[in-house]
Amino acid sequence: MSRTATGFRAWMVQRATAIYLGLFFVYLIAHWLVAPPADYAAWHAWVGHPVMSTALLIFVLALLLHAWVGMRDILIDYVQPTGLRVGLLAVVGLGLVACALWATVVLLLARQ
Amino acid sequence: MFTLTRNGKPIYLNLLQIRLPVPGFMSILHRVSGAMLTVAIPVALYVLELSLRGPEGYAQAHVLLDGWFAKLVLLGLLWALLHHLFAGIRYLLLDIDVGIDKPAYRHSAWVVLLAAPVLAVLLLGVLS
Repeated sequence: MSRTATGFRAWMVQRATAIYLGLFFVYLIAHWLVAPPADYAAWHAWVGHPVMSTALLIFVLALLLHAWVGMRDILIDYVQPTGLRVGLLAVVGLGLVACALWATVVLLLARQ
Repeated sequence: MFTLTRNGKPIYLNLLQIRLPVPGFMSILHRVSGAMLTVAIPVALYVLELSLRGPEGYAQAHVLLDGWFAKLVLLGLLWALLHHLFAGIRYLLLDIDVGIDKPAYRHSAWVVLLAAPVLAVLLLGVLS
């Protein structure tokens, strides 16, 4: 993809993930209001259900992608010294990748 | 006061003196709330993992979220989530030219600014 197109791709990623995240958050809050988990067994069964844990995994990955595009915009706009900017981008990027792996492990373990 | 760029345009970026219009204020809070939510991701993952570790972990997570300090953090994060959600919906609508005209985009910015804190307090009250 050309240099001029990367901004458009980030713009599209931000909006596509936003729609999934928005709908899912509304569902989560509504579910929590109507039927909060009664105890550990109910909570574990709900998170561990194959449909739910898959939807949650997609949610977490969309969230991390969305956070990356947003944090990248913020850091590029406000952090002027190149070294500091690259360093912070690396910290945020690696942190989000680590969160992706962590979330995958937690959600897959919850299926068992 | 302010400096000029090479091609003569003024730069005036004193954050303490800039008076942003309402949509601009809402927009900067969209960024602030987004950064807050990003920082909260690993914390939320920690609580999720703890709550799924077993009945003891589930109880520990409950205790962890029950203190007044946790409630304060939760209130802040709920505000950030709702502000980010409402401002995001507003931007998506503006993208497809809904509410892009002059009084409407100012009004919708006010709605976002006011609805997020009110709903955050209500939701924290109901959820906890």
